[in-house]
Amino acid sequence: MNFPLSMTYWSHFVSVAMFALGLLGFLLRKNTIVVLMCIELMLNAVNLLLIETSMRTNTPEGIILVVFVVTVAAAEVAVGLGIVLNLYRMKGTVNLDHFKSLQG
Amino acid sequence: MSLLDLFLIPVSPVASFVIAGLLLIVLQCIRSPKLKGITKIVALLGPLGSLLATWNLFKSQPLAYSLVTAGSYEAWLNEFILSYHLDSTTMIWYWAIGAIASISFIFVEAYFKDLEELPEILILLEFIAAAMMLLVSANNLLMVFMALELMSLPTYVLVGVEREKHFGAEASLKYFLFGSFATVLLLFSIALLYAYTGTLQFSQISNFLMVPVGGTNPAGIMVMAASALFIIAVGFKLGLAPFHMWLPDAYEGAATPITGFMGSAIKLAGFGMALRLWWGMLAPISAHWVAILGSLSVVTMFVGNLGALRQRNLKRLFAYSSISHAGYLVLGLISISKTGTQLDTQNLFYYLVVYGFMFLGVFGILGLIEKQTGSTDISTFEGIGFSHPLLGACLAILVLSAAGIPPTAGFLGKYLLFADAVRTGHVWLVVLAVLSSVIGVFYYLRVLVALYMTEPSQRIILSSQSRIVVWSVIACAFCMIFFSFFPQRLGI
Repeated sequence: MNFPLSMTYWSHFVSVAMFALGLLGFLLRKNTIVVLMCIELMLNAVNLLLIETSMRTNTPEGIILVVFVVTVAAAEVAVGLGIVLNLYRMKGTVNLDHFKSLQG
Repeated sequence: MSLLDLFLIPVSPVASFVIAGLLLIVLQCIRSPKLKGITKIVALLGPLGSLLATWNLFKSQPLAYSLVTAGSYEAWLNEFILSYHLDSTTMIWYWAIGAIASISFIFVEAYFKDLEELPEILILLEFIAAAMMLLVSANNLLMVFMALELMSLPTYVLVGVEREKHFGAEASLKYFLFGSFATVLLLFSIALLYAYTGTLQFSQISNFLMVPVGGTNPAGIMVMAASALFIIAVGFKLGLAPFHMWLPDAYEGAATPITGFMGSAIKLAGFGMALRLWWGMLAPISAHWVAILGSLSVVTMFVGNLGALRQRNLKRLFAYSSISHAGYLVLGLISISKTGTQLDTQNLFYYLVVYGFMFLGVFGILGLIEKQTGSTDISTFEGIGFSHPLLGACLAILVLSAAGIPPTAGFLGKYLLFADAVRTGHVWLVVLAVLSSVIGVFYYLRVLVALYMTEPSQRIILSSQSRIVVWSVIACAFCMIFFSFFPQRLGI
């Protein structure tokens, strides 16, 4: 009982590409703020996929989940920026390479 | 059945934590100096009330709950029944989470006695505990996501709660980045599964997956990708190698009682989630993930045990030890067998609880010593066995249990897990696991040598030990002996 995937197959590529962009940014960039933005980009790629599926299959769960994801993303950024701000106060930088005192 | 049976009694263990958390927020808003003492007592009401509620749930024949079928109730109640999994196994998890949370609360209250932010820490802990209970009884991917985030976000804050310490702030950034990365991966795999099946319910997804999937058609790729991403995401959350790099840093940087809580309760809830995700939802395609998890478990054991060998800081040593224990637990997770429709999770649960109390007790003692000396280096512990016989003996019992030496529960737990694994045909994994636990004995013995066979360079006198903390540590050590002789108390 698969849904007609072939019809909407290409729309998945947009969200997968967005997700991959965010993933690359997350792994490669050194600025903590940019890394946080990349996490947001990945979350929005997921939202796109969820909305697309929700419209295609005519089920409400996807859109409900999107609302929750947006809310949680806001909370996550609040926590993340708080942590980054605290580190910036101590070290005067947000570059990930400068946060290395814990390795051993 | 009434609303009381269908909704209020099943959520009462969770609600107890939430109500205590909200009460603490109100108390915090009043800001009266007279209420300072009440804060600590109100905070303890959360876990104690939750234990009581769980006991009440046990008593009122909850088995019926999992058989309740949605249908003739109001719409929201139907949705709730569908997304809330509650059976006798789940309730044992509730019991364990409640017990570990209450001991953690005692440790946290004693350790942060003089900190101005103590009420905030307690509020966050209450909500984390509530989220953990939701997580182990999730039956819906939306519930998994929400509970996981409610559990993780306050934890990131708690790791960095000592704001002026460099270590803590860095540890919390690391934990935050890896944790949110894991969440995003989990969410993406949820979206992929949803795109394939059009539903978020575990049971319906399972039904979809009964139809063989695979090959290079889009549907097969989607399911395989989702299954792989689940492994990576949960691997990050549980600290399985090769996704473990954040764990030693986060555990070392966090304040000692917070580490104790993270290592015991959050691991427990994480494995509860893994159990629901893999055996509750992805069981039909178990051929695709059992082998991968099996190899991950062996890698994790060796990384944990070899990494711990060269550590001199006990906090970091036990962080690596917790990685290796996660490896054994994953071995237990993949060797769960089914009798009828019921999963045999008792052995996994036994090991988890024993490990949880062990970790909690060790970090209780580390917290006591660190508070006095400001260090958790192994040299600080030299001669503790003679200067403080009671604490020394407790630490010795806990360490022996971690190593899996016979009279303790750690041995029985390992034995039961390995027996399970052999029964389900993972003989080679067991051979490697036994080898790696032999390596583990070496560094555990180093702790014992420091305790009993080394002359202390300077004698530490623990002046103001809080009596309730010492009693909690003794309780943890007592569990190691008690559960070894009476394993049936944990449902074996």
